[in-house]
Amino acid sequence: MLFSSVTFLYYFLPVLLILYFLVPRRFKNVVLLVSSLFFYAWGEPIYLLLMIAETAVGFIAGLFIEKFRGRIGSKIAMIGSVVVCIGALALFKYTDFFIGTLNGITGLALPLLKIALPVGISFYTFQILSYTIDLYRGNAAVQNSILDFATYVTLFPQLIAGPIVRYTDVAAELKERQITLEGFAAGVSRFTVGLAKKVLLANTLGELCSIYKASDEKSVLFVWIYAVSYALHIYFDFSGYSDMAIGLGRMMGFHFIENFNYPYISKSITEFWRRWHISLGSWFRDYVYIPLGGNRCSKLRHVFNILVVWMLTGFWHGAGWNFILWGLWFALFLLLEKYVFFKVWDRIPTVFVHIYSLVIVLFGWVLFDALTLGDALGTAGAMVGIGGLAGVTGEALYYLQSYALPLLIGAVGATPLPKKVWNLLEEHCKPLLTFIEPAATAVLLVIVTGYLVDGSFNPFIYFRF
Amino acid sequence: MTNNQTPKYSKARAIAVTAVFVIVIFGLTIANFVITPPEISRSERRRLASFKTPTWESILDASWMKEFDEDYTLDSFPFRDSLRALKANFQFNVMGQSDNNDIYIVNGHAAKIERLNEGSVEAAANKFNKLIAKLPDSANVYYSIIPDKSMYLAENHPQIDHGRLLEIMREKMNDASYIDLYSILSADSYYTTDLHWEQSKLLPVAETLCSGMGVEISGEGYTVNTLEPFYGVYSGQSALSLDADKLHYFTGGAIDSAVVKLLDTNTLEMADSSMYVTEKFSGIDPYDVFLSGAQPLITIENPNSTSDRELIIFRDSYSSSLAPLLAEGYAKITLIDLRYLASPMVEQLVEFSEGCDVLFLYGTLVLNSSGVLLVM
Repeated sequence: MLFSSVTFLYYFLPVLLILYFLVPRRFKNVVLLVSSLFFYAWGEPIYLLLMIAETAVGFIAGLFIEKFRGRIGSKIAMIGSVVVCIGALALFKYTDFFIGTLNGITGLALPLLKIALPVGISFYTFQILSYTIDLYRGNAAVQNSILDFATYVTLFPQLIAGPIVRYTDVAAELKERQITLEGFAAGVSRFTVGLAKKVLLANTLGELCSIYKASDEKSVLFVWIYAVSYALHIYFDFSGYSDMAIGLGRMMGFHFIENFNYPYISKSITEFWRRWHISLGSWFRDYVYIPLGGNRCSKLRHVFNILVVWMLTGFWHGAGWNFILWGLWFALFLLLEKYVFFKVWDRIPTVFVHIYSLVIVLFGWVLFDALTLGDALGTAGAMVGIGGLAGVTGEALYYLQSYALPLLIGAVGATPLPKKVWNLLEEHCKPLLTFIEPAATAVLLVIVTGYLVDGSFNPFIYFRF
Repeated sequence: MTNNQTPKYSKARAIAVTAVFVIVIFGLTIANFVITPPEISRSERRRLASFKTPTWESILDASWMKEFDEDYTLDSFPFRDSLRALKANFQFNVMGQSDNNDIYIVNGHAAKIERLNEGSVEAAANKFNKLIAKLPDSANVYYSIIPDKSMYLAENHPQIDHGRLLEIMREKMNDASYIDLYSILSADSYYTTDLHWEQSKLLPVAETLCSGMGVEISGEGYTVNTLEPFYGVYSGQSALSLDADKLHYFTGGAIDSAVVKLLDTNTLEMADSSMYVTEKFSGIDPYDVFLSGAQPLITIENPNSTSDRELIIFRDSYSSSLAPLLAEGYAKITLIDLRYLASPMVEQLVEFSEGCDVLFLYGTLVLNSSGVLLVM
């Protein structure tokens, strides 16, 4: 089920809120668990069983890790949970990729299994593992309540597309959380902003990307319009989802981690990845990069560690070579920044390092969005004038004019400027916000509803991962 | 990093935000359950999705949920037309976009963005040639193309490459003579809210076509009648409140005396009808006033004709309003719509007399999506 759908907004959410706020405190997790299972089953009824099975594995592994603490059994239980969860992920997400690669290398013609990807498997797998690994390391307390653990894994706001909420981040709130009017209102505002980001900006810019792809009149200008649109589209799509998840959590008393921090204002790729999909980056850092040795090792080993982590980061996003190369593309610049550029970085005017970061990210998104490597190279080549495309066509100019304002709003909205303006209002015109914020909430909700009623199906990009 | 940066809300502000959220979400939810949705959207000219009872199978494969999400909830939502209008106005006036659902407005005219589908145009020409090959050798075969109104409206808007379209047709249609209509049409020949042309502006078109086929018509003695308000198809698709058109239609002369018959698709017999069915003005598509709208086969006989010439038109909906003006020049006109009558049936139901005129008269929109033409 999509947050940005009539079904969610005008069927699921009202019923959930009524039940959640009517039942006594001790039953709130029951309401959350049942509604989360229903939320997941709405789109993936069959794969609900898989999620329940993995949840059971994580819970039982946790009990064994605790029971055998200090003994080999604890390690076996932890490794067992990793093997089962990663095994399921590999089976359902990567089997056809491996078969296709094997066929390509050996010339065999093994049939593809064509298993449908269970929605959200990459997210809930990482959440379960954060629990069993942290528990094994002694960084988390064992969860003895299957209800609370299942509520954590299946919690619908972040179940499908993150943020990847670690068990330790919400363990206390699973037991006891404060639900306040102020918190609910803050959640409403955050949810509404996320919804507007998704429906008004991400979907609109996504349309422009689709128009580009369908066009027979491609030009260099049009390719750049597409690349910029896609960059903004994926940012507002994913950060909008995260905002909605955080907002929904807040309405129900949870505090989820932030997942984005204005990534497009970064002055390096290193900084970009501290600001983009923060929960994934920190997961790989804590559960893969540091266990591999991090940067406290030889240069060669460090290079190896970076390449492994970024290959896996790319692979996490999708079972395709373009995703692996996308990860390695960033690894290349992370290494260059660490070992080469750092000598001159401080002497380069800020504007140039911003441009450098944006250009690397834009080419990265072209690779990310391509169906094949050939398509990616074709589009990237067209961006630098290779491929014989016209510089400008009438169609490109038309769509540049037609989407100028959404692009501009997107570009400005991807910076901290709107937040700064809002903070200024908070500082100097606080009483005014008593009217502005509810009015803006109402206007945005109604306009978004208009877009939904008139629109077509626009799933979130990160549902694929 | 946890999300602890929530603003310090005053109680009044928190209450106001919460109240607004509750009013919008719960208000529309209650309206959604209380208000019975219409079966038909008149503005979009289509039947709206209705609630389907789920089955175990449709739940397990999630198809019921998909249909519920993507069809039923959208079609049954309360205040649907108002919300669509709100979205359209927001998109045009706030987001500054040049079109909504591919519909744009220039000088009060609504038009739709279309791009040339060369393969489709080639396929259309091939289908026409297939039909031409089965005509009597003595038939005089013509073709003419009705440009979409965007031809005269699009300023910087993407549009069909008409030059290339004509080039393809000329290359392929070797056994038919071309009669040009591009030069005698203008934006004013079309309704402002609809894709069709206005009958009251079509006398030059009728004269050009007849002249091209060696027939003379006077185009005199007609009276103009008016039905209003006419909201065309783009009015609903754009979801904007466009000024209504007037639907004019000619009566008098050969139009009044003509005998019109339609194919009864149940009996495959020709049944009596008339040039105009004004009751259809209040139906889903008011343009159906002309020759009863979408019909597979129509004959128009002119008992007062001074010649015995016959005309067969392979056509789309544009001909519905044009054909009455051609009646003066022919003893019999047969209108065949290949979207609703497959070519094998044409051979069974239509007799092509020796020396008849055959005109392939199609708008660019049908040529651009010629898969709809049932030529086997």
